[in-house]
Amino acid sequence: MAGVDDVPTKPIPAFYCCYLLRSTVRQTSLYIGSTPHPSRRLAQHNGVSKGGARKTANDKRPWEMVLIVESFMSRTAALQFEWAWQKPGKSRHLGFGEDSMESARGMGKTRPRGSARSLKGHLENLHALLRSTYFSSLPLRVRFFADDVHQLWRVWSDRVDGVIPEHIKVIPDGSCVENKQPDIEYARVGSVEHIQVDYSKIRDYVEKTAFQLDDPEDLQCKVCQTPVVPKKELIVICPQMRCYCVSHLLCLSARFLDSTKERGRLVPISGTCPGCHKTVQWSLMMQELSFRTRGGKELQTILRKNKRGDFSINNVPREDTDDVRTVTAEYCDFSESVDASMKGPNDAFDESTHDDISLEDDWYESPALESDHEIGDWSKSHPAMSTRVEIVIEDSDCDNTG
Amino acid sequence: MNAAADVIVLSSSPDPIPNRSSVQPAHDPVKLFDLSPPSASPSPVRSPSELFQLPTRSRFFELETPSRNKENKTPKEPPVRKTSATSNSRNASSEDRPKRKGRKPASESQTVRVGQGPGGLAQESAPKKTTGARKKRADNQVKCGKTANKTITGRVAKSGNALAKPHQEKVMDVSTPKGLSETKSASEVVDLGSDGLQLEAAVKRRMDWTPTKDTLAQTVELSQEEVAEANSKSFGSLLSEYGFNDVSSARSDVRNFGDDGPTKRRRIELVDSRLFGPSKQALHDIDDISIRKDSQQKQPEAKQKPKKQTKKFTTLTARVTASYLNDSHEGSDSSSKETTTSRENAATARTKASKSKGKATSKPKEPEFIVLSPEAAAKSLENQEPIFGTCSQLEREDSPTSLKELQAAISESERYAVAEPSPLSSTLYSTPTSRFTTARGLWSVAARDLEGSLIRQTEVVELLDTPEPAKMTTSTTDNRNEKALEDAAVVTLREPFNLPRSEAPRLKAIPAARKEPSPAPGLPTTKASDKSRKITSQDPEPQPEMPHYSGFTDAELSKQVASYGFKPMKNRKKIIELLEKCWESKHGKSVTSETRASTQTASTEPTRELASSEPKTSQKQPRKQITSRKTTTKSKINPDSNALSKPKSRKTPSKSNALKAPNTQLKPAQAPSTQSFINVEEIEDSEEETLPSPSRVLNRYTHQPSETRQVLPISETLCSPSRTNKSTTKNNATLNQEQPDLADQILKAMHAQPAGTPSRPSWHEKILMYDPIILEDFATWLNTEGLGLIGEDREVGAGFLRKWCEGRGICCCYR
Repeated sequence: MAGVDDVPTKPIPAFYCCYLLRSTVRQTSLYIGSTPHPSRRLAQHNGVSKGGARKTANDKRPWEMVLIVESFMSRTAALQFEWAWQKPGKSRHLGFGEDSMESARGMGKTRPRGSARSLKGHLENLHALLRSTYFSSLPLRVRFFADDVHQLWRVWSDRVDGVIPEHIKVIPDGSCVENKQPDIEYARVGSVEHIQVDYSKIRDYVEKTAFQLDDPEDLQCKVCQTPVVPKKELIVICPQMRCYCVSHLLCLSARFLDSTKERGRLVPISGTCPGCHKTVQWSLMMQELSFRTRGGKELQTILRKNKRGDFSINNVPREDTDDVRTVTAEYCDFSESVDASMKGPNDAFDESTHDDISLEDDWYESPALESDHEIGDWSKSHPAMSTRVEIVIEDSDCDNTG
Repeated sequence: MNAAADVIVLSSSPDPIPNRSSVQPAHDPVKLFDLSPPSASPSPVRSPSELFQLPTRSRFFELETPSRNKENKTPKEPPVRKTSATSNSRNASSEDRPKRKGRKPASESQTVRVGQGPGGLAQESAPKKTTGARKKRADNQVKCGKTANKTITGRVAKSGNALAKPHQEKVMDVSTPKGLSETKSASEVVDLGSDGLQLEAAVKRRMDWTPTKDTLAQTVELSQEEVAEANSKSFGSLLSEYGFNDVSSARSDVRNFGDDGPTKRRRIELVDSRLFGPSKQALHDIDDISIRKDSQQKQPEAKQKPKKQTKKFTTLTARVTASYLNDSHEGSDSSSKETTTSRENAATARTKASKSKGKATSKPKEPEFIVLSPEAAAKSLENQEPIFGTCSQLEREDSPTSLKELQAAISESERYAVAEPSPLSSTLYSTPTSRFTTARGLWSVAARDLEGSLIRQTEVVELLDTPEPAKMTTSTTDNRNEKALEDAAVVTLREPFNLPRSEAPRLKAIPAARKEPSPAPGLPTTKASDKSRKITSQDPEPQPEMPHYSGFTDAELSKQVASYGFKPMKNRKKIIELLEKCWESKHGKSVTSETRASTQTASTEPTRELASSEPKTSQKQPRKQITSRKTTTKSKINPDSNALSKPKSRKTPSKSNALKAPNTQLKPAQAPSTQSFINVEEIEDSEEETLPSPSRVLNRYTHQPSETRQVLPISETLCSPSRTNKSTTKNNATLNQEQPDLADQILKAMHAQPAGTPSRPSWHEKILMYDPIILEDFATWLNTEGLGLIGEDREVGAGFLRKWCEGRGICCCYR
């Protein structure tokens, strides 16, 4: 992901997020960054692990991630979002976006540009960014790990005029007590350390598609009813474990787009699988597709792993739960096994972390902690951080593959 | 007298000098001057007969001088005061100023206040010392002849003239015993005055505090009155202020104490002093002598002053102080004037006063100007209050009403236009409306808000609220305002009365001036031109009434639109506008059917439609208001309207016809016609206004089915804005047709690209796969290949693609 040139050759990252970092010592000290690996990055910020975290290497440690904006489909998008979030005054999406004139004014005048901003200001900017035409169409999710921040967010969401698109889910997580939304409950991971940052979360999906496409002779596009050639065509397979619907990328996208009410949209957010008639997330399918077509070594490792690993374990639960995302949630429970299995593949991508580290340094400068220095008594550190961090640290700093 | 003449000459320039002299040496000169001013006051009246008076003047002047001489002599006899000696010398060389000058300082010791009554004193002294007085008088007369020549030559002639007349009379009196007696009484008064003078001195001090104001007043007075008089007054006051304060303060204080109350105000004080004076005189005969002395002293002082003045001219201090002196002079002058009546008896006093005036007048004026310039400059600078604000604001302040008036006029015009639709009043109002409508159109062009909201409504309100016509505005504007005011009043009252009549003529006259007189001098011409511009082409012939589409339901409107073959439109206003156009085109002359079609096709509908809807509403409202007028004035107005309508028809038959026809015909017909043209005019108006029209119901009945759109020609002649809109719309349409939309073309090109392979996905697939789009590559592909697939010749830039991608939520970036 580091090089734009490489973008076509790299799959959609397994995970990439922008995060808002807050000092547990001084709660007004905030930091915006992006990372494909939040827990590792957090460890770097806190000095637990090596890595560029110059701006956060001070007495404000430890830091906590109060929220993350996740599921960016590319590092580029994440970095753009990060930049816009850090510099709302300069962002076209906020300042000069078609729909964000109001927010632009707010950014420019009510808040110091690019400098110290309050948590509320960051949240407002985030809200505005998520409403912007550019980012509102991305399949993003906002995950809160701090309840107070989530409360503030909700207050602001009620106040602000704009509404975040429905497809952008807000997931109260971590210390957030709100569990009232059952459909979101599955997405809770509990803490930063439990975030699935590699393709293991779609391993089953990948395995399914690999297995299904292994014998493509009788496969037909469910949409155009024409035979598919997996080797020469971009084929999409339903993520539902029991659905074997195969279709062309363009066919399915056209079908999804036709079913949506938004005419101007080019990329569907979700759609109804023509085979199982269940709502499937386009982003997930694209992630799998890109990973399948571009995953390269990592894909092989995962597939190998699956073959090596207890296949029954993987398949049984997944079959029960048709939705892969539920599977991912379950993965949390099987984190140990997953971690164990993930080490191999992650290590394989260590080489690509170099550039990422250097970039992180750069990014650190821009996101500099301009926030005011307030002394906060909130000193509770992440209980699981140390332990989890160690585990995570072993993983590659960056998922360049992602 | 020679000296006096000289003084006069000098006086023109040297005011400051006398001031100084008066100030320094003695207050007496001031007193003398003071005396002179009162005499001066009467003098001006007489001045007109200057020719005859001139000789007399000379006499008086001479007399004055001799009186001084007498006085001077008198003081010698009653050596009450120091000046007596000097006075004697003065008498000897009364004419010689230098001597007097020398004396003056001595005499200065005497109170200036004496000067207030000085004339009287001198006169009085004369009678008392009949011999001296007579001698003086005789001398004066003789001298007068001498001096007269001089004085005449001198500038002061006017003052001299004024003084001269009374002096003559006085002289006669003096010669007679009566005159002596009178002079005595006067002298007594003077004595009292002298006493009072001392008392007044305190007052004078107070006077000093407010010199500048006095000076100003003096100057004004001078300008109004004869210069000489004013000068004399001012001069005397100057002397009085300076000298008195110092010298006479003690005396005056004592005497004045009784009068203190009045002392604050000079005039009052003077009067008081005189009043007291006589009483005192009665008590103390001796005082008269002293007074005489005082008066004598004063007189010489006055003489001396001019000399001093000449000397002092050079000094800066004199000039500076001159202003203050002038102030004091004024006060003294006023007092002197009052006293003058009493003094009149004594001609000598007047003569003296006249002399002093002549001198003073010339002198004080100049110094005032000179002095004022520096002070005035400083003061003006200090006093000037910086006013911050935009020019527009300042202007408003200047003529706050102008804007209101303009607005009112506009509003009225609008009202008239509205009023037209009403059947009864239609004829009358139609004509005015046409005018006003034109004005409104002009106004509307410039008065639109950014949003296009109409200012007129607010304006109308303002007019109603503030009926006051603006005075500042030009005659035309005034007329408008008046009309507007009247209209407003009428509307508010709803009492037609005479107002409508008056309005109509006014309107006629005004509208031409306002709007665009060029088309035609007469109202009808203007109307016609306006109509031609604004009004859509309707058949000159009696046309079927246009249905009030505004009154239709949406379903009906849709049907109508369908009948014309147009697509169903969302905007009700647009629909109505379109239908109206169609109807007009059908029934009226078909001029711009093509344009209309083009606009419609373009889908970017011109502002007309919107505007049309708005004007309707506006019309409706005014109608209501106007109705009262109409009813009253209908009968009267109709003939006028007909006349007006005729000329319209001549000039612009097609357009005007519609107007005419409706006017003559039925109410409904008129209403639509007015609407049509009004709409055209107001095309630019904001769309905001809703159609709610009270007349909808009526309109429904009137509405007629419209034929095919092709028939519909919209008159191109309609207002320019409409044209522009059409043209723009056309352009847009053409652009769209020729070059659909580059963004859409890009999309087409993208879709046209065959599906890629997993290794090389197409751009569409990349986008679907959330691949960040590299703008340069994408642009390159589009320009080299993609757009070619769809036959698009244009090229796209990375910047455009960036907007394109960002607008669609496609992750994009530069390489």
